[in-house]
Amino acid sequence: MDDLIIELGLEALSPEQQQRIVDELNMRVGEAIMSGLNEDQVSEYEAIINGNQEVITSWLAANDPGYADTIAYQQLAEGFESDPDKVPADKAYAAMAWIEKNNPNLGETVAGIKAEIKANLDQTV
Amino acid sequence: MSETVPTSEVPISADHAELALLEAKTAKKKFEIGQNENFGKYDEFIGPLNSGIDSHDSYHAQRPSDGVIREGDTFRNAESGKFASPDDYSAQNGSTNEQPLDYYDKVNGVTENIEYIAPDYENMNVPQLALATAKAEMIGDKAEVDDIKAIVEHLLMEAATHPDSDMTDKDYNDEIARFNHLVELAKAKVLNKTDGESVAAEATPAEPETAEAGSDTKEAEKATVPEHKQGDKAELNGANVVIESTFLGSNGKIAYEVTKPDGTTELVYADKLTFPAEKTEEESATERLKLFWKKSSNFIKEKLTLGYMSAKWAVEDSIINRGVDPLTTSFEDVEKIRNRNRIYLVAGTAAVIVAAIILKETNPLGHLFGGGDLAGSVPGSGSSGSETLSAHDQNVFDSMHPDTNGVETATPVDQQLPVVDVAPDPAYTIPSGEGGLELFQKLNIDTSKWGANAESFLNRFPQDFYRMNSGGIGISHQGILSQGAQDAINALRN
Repeated sequence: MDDLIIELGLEALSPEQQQRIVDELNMRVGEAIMSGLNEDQVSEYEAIINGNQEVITSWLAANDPGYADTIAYQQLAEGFESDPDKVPADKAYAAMAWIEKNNPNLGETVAGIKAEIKANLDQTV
Repeated sequence: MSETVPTSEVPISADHAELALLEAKTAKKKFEIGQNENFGKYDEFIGPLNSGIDSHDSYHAQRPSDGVIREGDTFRNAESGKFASPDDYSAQNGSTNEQPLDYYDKVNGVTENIEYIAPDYENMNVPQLALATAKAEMIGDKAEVDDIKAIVEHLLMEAATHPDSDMTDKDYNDEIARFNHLVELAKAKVLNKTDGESVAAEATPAEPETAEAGSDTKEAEKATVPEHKQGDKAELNGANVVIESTFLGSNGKIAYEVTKPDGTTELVYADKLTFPAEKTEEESATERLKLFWKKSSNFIKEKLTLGYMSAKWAVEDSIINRGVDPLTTSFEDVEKIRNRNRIYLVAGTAAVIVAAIILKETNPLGHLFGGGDLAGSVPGSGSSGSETLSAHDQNVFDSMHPDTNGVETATPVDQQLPVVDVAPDPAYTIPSGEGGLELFQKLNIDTSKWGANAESFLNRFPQDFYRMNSGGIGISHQGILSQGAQDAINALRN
């Protein structure tokens, strides 16, 4: 079972309910981390997740030039041909690297929102 | 021919061998004494037969005056003079036929009946017989040594004379030589220590007299100090083995007892083993990181894909429509809001993933990207790695445009997801054995509606319903029904 499902205590819920809560978590986290950024930054990230190769390549060159030599990238790239969703490794890598780069307190932010979610669930139960 | 000695027993030192010999001799002597005592060798008998002092009158005086006495083959009550039975005589002495006297119960209780179980030499292989021979030699049991050697020759002769055998005389002699060598190896001084200093101390002279002797000593130390210890891994003939103990052979060579993959052990010289090159700390760290990302990459791609796909396809999803008022929000603003929500959703998905990875203990420096330190550098690689988007790829990351095909896509907007409203309806938690009829009864829904809608449920929610062997439709699992199924059933309530 997904570690996140277990961490949030959602095991007893239906898959649809679990997905709704995970979506809620992701949305709240996204709001929290993006709302503190300027429009240019948001546009840059939008371009990355939209697959704008020029933006992806230039961002990686400026912020993580050695990304292709990293184990993370190489493992993401491995199995691309057999991946039915064909998630390009550089997009996946950049989508995560950009988030980390622009959110120094990422861990705390995510942990705080997870706690909120769990508290709401506890109240319900 | 490999010089290996399989052994299943820990070899003994000379001191222990001597102790074993002395203990065996002691046990043997004790047994002899016990037997002699049992048969009265050391008994002192005072009576007419020995001393000749007592007279017939004194003999009678010593006889009991009551109870049953024995007179030759008959038994008689001493008081009454009446005949008595042998049982009466035995009973008065506290013993019966059912409980015979422990005749051998002398000093130290009943003499232990030590059962000797002969080793099954016939079913041992040559190295095992070599070990047994070595042990017998070390305790000085020459007869046992000769027996075992005879068995070895017999086994080898059988193998040589077998119709399918291609063993030559030379092979036979080589096997005998190998056996003798294995015996010597097994008798070698045992160093059941992993401390190399101990080995060196036993292997070198105490005081080298000359510089040359000193250098010889160092060479001797180097030759006799085992380089590997218990638990170290090695390869023997392509198989992975683990070192159990170290030996110093009488020829000065280091030997190791190793455990093979099948659990058996062998005694081999060090030069028969291949040891893996020690990894540097960097290589070990790189391997760990590689493994971590290898395990994580599929998870990451899956989650990001869900985020992207959710954003792309969840037109009617309340998450994407959050903040959209169908009554007041203009069409252009609806698109902007949905796109913004999609970016938030994808960013949040990625953020949750990254935060989770950062927290893992495999990531000690606390960050993942930016310079490749913890994303992990692969020494020597230098590809650019840029991906060219295929049309399919482009689809995945297209700005979300409602897949309308001319159909109105504005949907009723949910308010912000009421997180509190996620408690499962207990009625839809299906216990073991519950079927559709029982569920409908529990929900106070006309059970005829179950029959009317069961086929539809099966078609629409195959994860929740199944067709039974009888042809009827049942609920396929315990636990909570899917939300869709719950909604469909709820719609039947009046």
